[in-house]
Amino acid sequence: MRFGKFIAFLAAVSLAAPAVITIAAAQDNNGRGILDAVRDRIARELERVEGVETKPPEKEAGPGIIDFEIASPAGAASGAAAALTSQYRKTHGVSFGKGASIQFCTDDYDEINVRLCPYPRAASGQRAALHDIETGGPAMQISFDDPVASVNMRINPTGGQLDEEFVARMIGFDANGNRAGVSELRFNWYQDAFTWPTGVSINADDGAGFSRVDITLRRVASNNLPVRFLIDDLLVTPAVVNAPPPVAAALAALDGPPRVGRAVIVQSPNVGPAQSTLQIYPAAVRKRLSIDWNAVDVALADQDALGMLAATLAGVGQKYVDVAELPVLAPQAGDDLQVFGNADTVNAVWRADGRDYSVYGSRLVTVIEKAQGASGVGSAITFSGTDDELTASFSLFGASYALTQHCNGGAGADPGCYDRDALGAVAESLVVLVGETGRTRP
Amino acid sequence: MILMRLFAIAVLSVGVVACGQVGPPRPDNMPPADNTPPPADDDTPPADDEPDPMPPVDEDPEPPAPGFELPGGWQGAPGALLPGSSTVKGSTGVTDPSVIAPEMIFPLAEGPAFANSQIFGQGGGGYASGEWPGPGGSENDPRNFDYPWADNFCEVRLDAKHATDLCPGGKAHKGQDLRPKTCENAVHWLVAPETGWISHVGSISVNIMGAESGLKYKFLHVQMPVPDWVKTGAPVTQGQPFAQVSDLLSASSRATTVHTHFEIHGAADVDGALHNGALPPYTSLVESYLDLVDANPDMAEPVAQPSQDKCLTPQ
Repeated sequence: MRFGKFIAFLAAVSLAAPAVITIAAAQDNNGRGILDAVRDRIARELERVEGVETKPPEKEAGPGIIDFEIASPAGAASGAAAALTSQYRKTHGVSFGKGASIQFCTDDYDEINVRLCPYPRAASGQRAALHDIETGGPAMQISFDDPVASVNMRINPTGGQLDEEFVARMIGFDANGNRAGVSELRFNWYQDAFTWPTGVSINADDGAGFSRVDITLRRVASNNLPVRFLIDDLLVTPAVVNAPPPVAAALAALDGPPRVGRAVIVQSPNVGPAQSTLQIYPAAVRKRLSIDWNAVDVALADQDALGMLAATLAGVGQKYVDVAELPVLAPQAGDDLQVFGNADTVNAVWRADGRDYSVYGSRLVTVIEKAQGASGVGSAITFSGTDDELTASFSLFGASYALTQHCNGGAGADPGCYDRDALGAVAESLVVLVGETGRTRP
Repeated sequence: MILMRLFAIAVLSVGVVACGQVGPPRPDNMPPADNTPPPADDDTPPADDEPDPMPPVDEDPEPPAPGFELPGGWQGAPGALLPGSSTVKGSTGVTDPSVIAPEMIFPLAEGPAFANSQIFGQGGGGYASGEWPGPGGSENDPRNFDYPWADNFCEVRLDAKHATDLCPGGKAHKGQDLRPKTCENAVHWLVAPETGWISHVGSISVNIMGAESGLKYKFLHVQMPVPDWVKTGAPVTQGQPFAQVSDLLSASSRATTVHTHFEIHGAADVDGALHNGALPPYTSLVESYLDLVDANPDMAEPVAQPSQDKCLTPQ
């Protein structure tokens, strides 16, 4: 679980990076690639995870770090190689094309079998993956069962001259085999192969993600001829489009009309200042609903893993998020996102696609007897409206929410505004914000 | 809370004294839309522990002069719709007398005001081409600007956008229609029922979220444009005028009567089911109106309607 959370962190970091359909690859001024920081974190994490050094994760479903730790069927002899094909498909959904093999190297440089083990040891362990151009062609092919939003790896030629220039290139393909992104990184190799300073990555932001990437490494001084190379610490992150957002999943799981769960009466008809000011009619009973904070935490972890972030808050909204003692729902994208409210009720407003939206959440409910003959609340998501808005109301995490799409122009002037499916899609795309106060007050 | 209400009343009273008039401030004395002062820069509503801006209380006030008293039966019972006006004929509206928003003050700056139906009141054409017939006549008929009040939450509406769980038939009018003192368009000011925030400004609507109750108040058919400071997210103080009553049905159509369609939105436990949407506002309006006219007895008395030319829709 701890490892899973770490992977989630990595995914969030990756997806939070600038999203352009080009490949990002970098080294810093000290020759350390952007993956060094990731790698350091991996190393620290792996140190705490018993057995991960010798066994692949068995239950870690979905993409994650691949450290090529699966032992060679030929044994553990230094320099032994085994074809790398589908060993990581079950655990990570990742397969390799021809020419890939798993390398096993000890701390001692294998001068005899240098072709198979041309480096002392991979920094994160004894194993790495080699791509042999003689058997696999110029490119290493990595395929994914589900499209991925990004692919990152450390890459290293098996040899070279000090400061010799190489070019690493990654090409991403969509599910139809169409080219969906490309990136190149020129770097100067130096002898300190142990640290593997070069990291390359590719990010997709078109929602479709990559179903395959091809990686090549070329020697510039040799007329850009492809050369064999090694990779390690392969990190893939899932495309958001293929994983249901937490709110969407929660909405899909709703079964039947929302019922009032555990609640405490906070306003009685006979007690309190409200009643003392009334002359004819009694104050309504008010109840405060209980929030399922465990479900909130799961949703937060899920959306973190998917790299889902709320749109930027405008103005002073954060302080109202912080005082809210219920989950605040907010959009992932939108202009002028504002949040205001009190501990028990909160309202987020924003503008998107030419319309105004608001999502109002409350854990304070007023007790009402409906009219005689009224059908009552009958479905998990209830739609209602007036002349200039359409609202979808539902219950999540124990609180009650109303998502409203405000129509332009008043009655009848914006007929498309009453599209329930469109509003439902907006509801499914919402993310959860929780202030620190909320976290500490179940 | 009480201090805020007193403050609002005091503000109105100050306006009366300043104008040398007895009774409520006249419409002409309300701030024009373009000149309405913006709220303070502070984005938060005034806290309860802030100094009370109310002027010192007169220790020995003169006894108030006897004023107009609301007639017996001035307000129909909650849920008692006009005959033949409910979606399911013969059914009632929400009869639960509970006051949803005891925190609110009456949302019109001055009285008298009249909660009643537009399409089933005088001049109303009814609904659905006569299937729910109206009385016809003139919308400016003095009877529309007189008591008794009538609840019209759950009044007949048949289109899908008027879906509601609280009313028989599942589709209905989800607010309360309020006529102002006179039939004049763009004259009568609406005031914030609670201190809070402007939660939305639409093409003909303004929504306000109350900071104390957490409820949302929706006003439809407001005169446009609203004052410049009335923007989504702007803080608003209880009693602060923010828009005027009009006959706008859409941004380009003045096809309704001069009235405010008033809604209260919030979460509710409806016979054990969780509901989030429009709640019946009638009793909250009754109670807040009583507060208004108790403090300003002359605000309860109906007035003679102006000449019809003053009630014509501005072009």
